[in-house]
Amino acid sequence: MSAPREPRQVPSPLTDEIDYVETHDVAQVHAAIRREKSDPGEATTPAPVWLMSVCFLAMACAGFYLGMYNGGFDANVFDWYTRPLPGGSGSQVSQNTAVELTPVMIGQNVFKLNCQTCHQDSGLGIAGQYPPLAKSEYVNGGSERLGMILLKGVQGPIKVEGATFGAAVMPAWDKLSDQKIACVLTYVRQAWGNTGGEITPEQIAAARKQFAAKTDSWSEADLLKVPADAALPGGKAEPKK
Amino acid sequence: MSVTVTPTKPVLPQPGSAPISVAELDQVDRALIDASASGPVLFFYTTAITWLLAATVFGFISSMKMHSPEFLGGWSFLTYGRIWPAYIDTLTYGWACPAGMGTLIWLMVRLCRVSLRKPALLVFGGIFWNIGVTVGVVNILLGVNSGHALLEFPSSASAILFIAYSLIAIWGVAVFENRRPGPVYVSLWYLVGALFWFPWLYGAANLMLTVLHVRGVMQSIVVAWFGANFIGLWMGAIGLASVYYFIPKVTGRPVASYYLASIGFWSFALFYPWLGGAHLAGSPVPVWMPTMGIAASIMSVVTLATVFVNFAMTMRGSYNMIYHSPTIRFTFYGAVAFIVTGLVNMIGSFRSVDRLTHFTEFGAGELHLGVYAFFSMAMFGAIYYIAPRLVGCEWLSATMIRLHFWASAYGIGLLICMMLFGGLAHGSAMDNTGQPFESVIEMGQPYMRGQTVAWIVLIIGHAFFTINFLLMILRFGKPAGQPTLFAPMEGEPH
Repeated sequence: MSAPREPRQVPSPLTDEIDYVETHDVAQVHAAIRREKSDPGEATTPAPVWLMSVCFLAMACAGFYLGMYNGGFDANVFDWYTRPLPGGSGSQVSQNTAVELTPVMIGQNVFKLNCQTCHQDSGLGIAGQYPPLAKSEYVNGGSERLGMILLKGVQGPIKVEGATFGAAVMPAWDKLSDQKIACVLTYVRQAWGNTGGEITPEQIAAARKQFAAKTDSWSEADLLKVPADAALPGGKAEPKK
Repeated sequence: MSVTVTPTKPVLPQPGSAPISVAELDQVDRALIDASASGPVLFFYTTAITWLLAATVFGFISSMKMHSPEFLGGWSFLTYGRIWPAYIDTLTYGWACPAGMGTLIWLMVRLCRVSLRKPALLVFGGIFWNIGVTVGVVNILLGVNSGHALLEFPSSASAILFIAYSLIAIWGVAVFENRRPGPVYVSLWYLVGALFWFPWLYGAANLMLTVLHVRGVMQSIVVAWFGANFIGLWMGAIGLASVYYFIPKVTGRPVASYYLASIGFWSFALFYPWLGGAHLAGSPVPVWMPTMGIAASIMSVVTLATVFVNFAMTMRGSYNMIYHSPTIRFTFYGAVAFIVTGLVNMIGSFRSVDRLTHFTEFGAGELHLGVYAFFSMAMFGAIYYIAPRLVGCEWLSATMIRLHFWASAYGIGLLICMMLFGGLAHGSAMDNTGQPFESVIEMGQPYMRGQTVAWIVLIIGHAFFTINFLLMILRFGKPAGQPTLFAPMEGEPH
């Protein structure tokens, strides 16, 4: 910003340019300007002490509130009652609120969103329509059959736990990510009294490649060709207990 | 709508009379300044008042829709979802901004003591601004709406508004740059701040929303930040500049305390930009944002207290002027409303209160406190002072000014009470799990009807104001001489 310029020269009122004929009217027109008081300035009355006290009180209250409920200024703290731990930093607040999810927890979520409609919350399926997962011979034991079913689907009839499900059709779930498939299988193999082991995303990725050529669903005969204790690639064989 | 204004000529002594005094030279100076600015300022005022009438109609219709949806139900462009944003945007961008800019220009040239050069360019900016508002409002009525509160205009209209504003703001800054040397008065601090704050707010918000297309809660954060600052910072600055000018000017006393004015200004500039966060309480945003907003609203007590005590100390001994002078009456109403706005905003921002009032009419009440009870009343006061000086005649009717004041004061008071208390009652009822939803809706009906009553009162006030202003710019006013006051007064306040 440049410094203010020199005062602008007010044109001298006594030059020839003035139209004196209008002067009389103009004097009336500008009665408002003539009568108005001069432009305001500032006096220097000192600030009252009580007013300064009010200001400091407000600042103190605001500071207290900000100190109490700032959530450590952490981008991941959303609850106003969450406070940093004593002597803690923002990162500790995150640890306090962010929970590490286990594969079983993720799997349970995937199951609720995708599988529960048919296989039910209890894992028992619906008699005559949808096979059970609880204690199923396909779920326990080796993981290869289970991986095949998830990736490509099954076309009935199929016999599970002694009951035959004639019209059962399970779609392929290969659109789910490797991690989600691995987690949901791990969950299914450990819920409802099942005893299977964990399945990793790497195993699912390998199985995807292995069965890439298969375009339709498996039949019961296809599944029974695979040994019951065969594991997905990268896993060790698990005999049925 | 355009106004033809013949620039008036300054007071000049007859040749051969006594040499003119310093005071007379001062008057010549003021007359020249006023003459240079009269075109754009009156243009801004006239368009602003035209939009105020449109806003009055839209506001009344949207208020009717709340309790009688069948009212004008046959027209899709008058449905509530369109007429409400059209009303709010007409009120803020159509009326408040141009009225504020007109006042800003006049205060700038008066306080910088320079004549406006090439005023036609400012009129050009004003025409652009009005085109932008028209495009925006028509789009909203046609159903094109960005969905962001106070930023509903389509990006084409926003771009026009931004260009128009730039034309106006460059002129404002140029006037400040060329100011006559001397102390810079308090009003100028706020006005220069306002000139820079608006492009920052409007530019940043539109950049985020329409150019960078931020997603999710980031949109809410941007909108909350913009909405609070558009009213608090931009209108707040111009409104306070106007109050800081007219109270001392009309009472003829200096602002009581330079120190309080400094504290008031810097606390305003520091704390007000944070207020938007309070509107995010309960939203899925990091908790420090609402907390910061609430803390800032508590700290704004510093601004409220220092500014108001300063006004009160300046007014001391001159309170009878509220009885006599239209400018002081409107301006002082605005000054009191500024304090009320700040306190209501503060109480409303507390999480325990916000839990009840969020998503109710309470927010609309806060908006009207800021935009109308404070800012618009201050602008009315300014117009009542400025227009006679630019046109060259006096207001025709003190009765019409009186009716305008009482209708506006009671109308907006009733409207705001209905919104604030209605919102509080509504929210409390919603919070009561034992109460059926239908009975909550029924309970809100009297408040909605009360708002419509308030709107009828406001229509009366705005009608008188418009007629009086129209007569003024058509030069049907009283011949210049005695000011139009509510009651005769010794010493002519203005």
